[in-house]
Amino acid sequence: MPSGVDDHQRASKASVALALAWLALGCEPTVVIGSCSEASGMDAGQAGASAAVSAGMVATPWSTGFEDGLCGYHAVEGYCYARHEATLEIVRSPVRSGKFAAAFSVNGNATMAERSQTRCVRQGAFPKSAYYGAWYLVPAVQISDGNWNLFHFLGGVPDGETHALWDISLANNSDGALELAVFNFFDRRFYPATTGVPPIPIGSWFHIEIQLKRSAQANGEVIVYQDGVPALHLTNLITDDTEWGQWYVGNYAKTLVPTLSTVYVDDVTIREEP
Amino acid sequence: MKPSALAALIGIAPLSFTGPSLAQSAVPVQLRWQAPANCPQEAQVRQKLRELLGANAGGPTSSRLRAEGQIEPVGDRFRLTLNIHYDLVNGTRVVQAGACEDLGGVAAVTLALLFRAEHGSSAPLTARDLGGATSGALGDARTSGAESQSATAPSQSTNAGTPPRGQGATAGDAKPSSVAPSSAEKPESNQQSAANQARGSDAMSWRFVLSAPELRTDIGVLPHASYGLGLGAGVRHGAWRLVASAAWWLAQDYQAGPFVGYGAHFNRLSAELSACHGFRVGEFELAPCALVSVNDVSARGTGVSIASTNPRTAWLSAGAGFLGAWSLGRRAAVVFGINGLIATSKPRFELESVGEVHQVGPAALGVMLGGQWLLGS
Repeated sequence: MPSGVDDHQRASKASVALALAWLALGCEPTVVIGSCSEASGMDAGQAGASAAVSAGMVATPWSTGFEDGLCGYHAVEGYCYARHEATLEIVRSPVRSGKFAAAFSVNGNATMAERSQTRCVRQGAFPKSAYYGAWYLVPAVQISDGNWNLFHFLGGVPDGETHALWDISLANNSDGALELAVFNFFDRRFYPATTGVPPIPIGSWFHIEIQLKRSAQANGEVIVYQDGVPALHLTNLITDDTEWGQWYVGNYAKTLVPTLSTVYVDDVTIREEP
Repeated sequence: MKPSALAALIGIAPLSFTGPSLAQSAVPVQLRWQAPANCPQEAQVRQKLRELLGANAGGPTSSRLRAEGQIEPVGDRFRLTLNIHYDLVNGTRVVQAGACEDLGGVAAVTLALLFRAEHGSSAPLTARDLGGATSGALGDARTSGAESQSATAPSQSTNAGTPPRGQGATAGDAKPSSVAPSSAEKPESNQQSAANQARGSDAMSWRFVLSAPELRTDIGVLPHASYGLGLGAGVRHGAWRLVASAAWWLAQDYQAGPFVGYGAHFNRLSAELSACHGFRVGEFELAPCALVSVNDVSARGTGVSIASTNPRTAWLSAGAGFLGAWSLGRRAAVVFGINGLIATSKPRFELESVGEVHQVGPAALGVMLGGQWLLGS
């Protein structure tokens, strides 16, 4: 067959292939069908937050009671997510204040390949020292494997390598009741028995707060409060060896009995002063 | 065609072979012919058919009719077996006569009448039109009639079927000796031929098609299966059908997966242009179609503290499908369609603070059920 005919056939086939690829792939324009309303800013932190965010700083004080849904996070370049059979819902009841709270539901089925998790995330350069708090409501006692996580801190490089720093989770004590447990990723040490505070209340709101004095040397400090009472106090240790970090609030579980768990969260805050 | 005119047309047929013309005139019906040497040959049958159809016969491909005719001696008589095909529909007519000269005219008239019927309506010819027997039913055809015909008739006819729609008699009923017209009837036949000529010309013109209502459903466009109501209009020419239609779809709400309470309210309109070529199978027509569709979707984001301007977007899809039609007389049909469309664009509908709510799929599969109305002559 003449080479010209071959070339023509090859060109025709290429054209058809391109046309099919174009049809198959197509363009994918984004249509924004809804934006956070202007009122969102009222709940999404205080004045000056935007400027701080643009510089990568986490401005304080900041708070969200989910009165603007998830926009309180979105407005400060945070985000929320739900994965592996988890759901996140803005609810009208129960609420600690205002009209809304957030319900974080996970499936703590140990046979699942991935851990069910739904959380909201603040990210950026956190203050050298700040208090990170949230109100939680746990409706029922459940048996956990000790890693039923409520707060999670990690640090690293944006869109790059990160590593975990601190966890505040729920663990069952010898009586089966739930109490706060802190895990320090630097020394891989678990602090299951916080002292001086009772097990968390079931079916009523309680406050968790951690004061984190960030330090890459052994002069940092961590204080965990339950309803304003210090439950754990650690000093003179490395607390954060990064400049950029993320703070997760929500629900994360690998093994729970019963498997389905919903915790409610309201009035999440970051502040530098007590 | 009125019965009297038909009778005139039929009656004149045998006489026409007295002419010497053997010209191989082009006729729209594909014909194969086999007959003893003393009987009318293919050229004569073609010539007769050409005369009957006149100028409106069109080109050699203007009809979907095909036929094979064979004359055989049966004792002291002759038998014509005419196998007629219209796409996938088949029929057979068997006619016996004392003189084989008559049978060439019978064949020509039969085919002429079927040609008229074919072009006199957009409804398809049926097995009954062709001969009352489906493919392979020759044996049935033979047992269905003529063997019981009066032996006193000058020409015994075995008509396996009923006449073409609207006709008073069939060529198989022809009794050439008894109804042979006088020469005075020939002008009447010519007048009828002229009338048919005009009618045939109309039949070959474009016809208006209304497709309504169209009940539609599809998947692949909106998050859930969509249900819509459509209306279409277009034209039909022969086996071709070109229709533009529009559909209004039921609005639907969708929640964005794990973010309970967040989602979108979708509204949708669509327009479609389809070109189909039909193939008849009895009362049914199956038509492969090429489709181009435009979807217009507006979406309003929903959720706590979400404000939406209800933006809309449109995109083009192309694909193919099949349309099936079941004729309910000459002007109405029930149509059923199935199609697949590839989207040239796959818009992502996103909600701030939540993320993507829905993305249009790369392909959509649709089904349609509706009515089709043929308007005009």
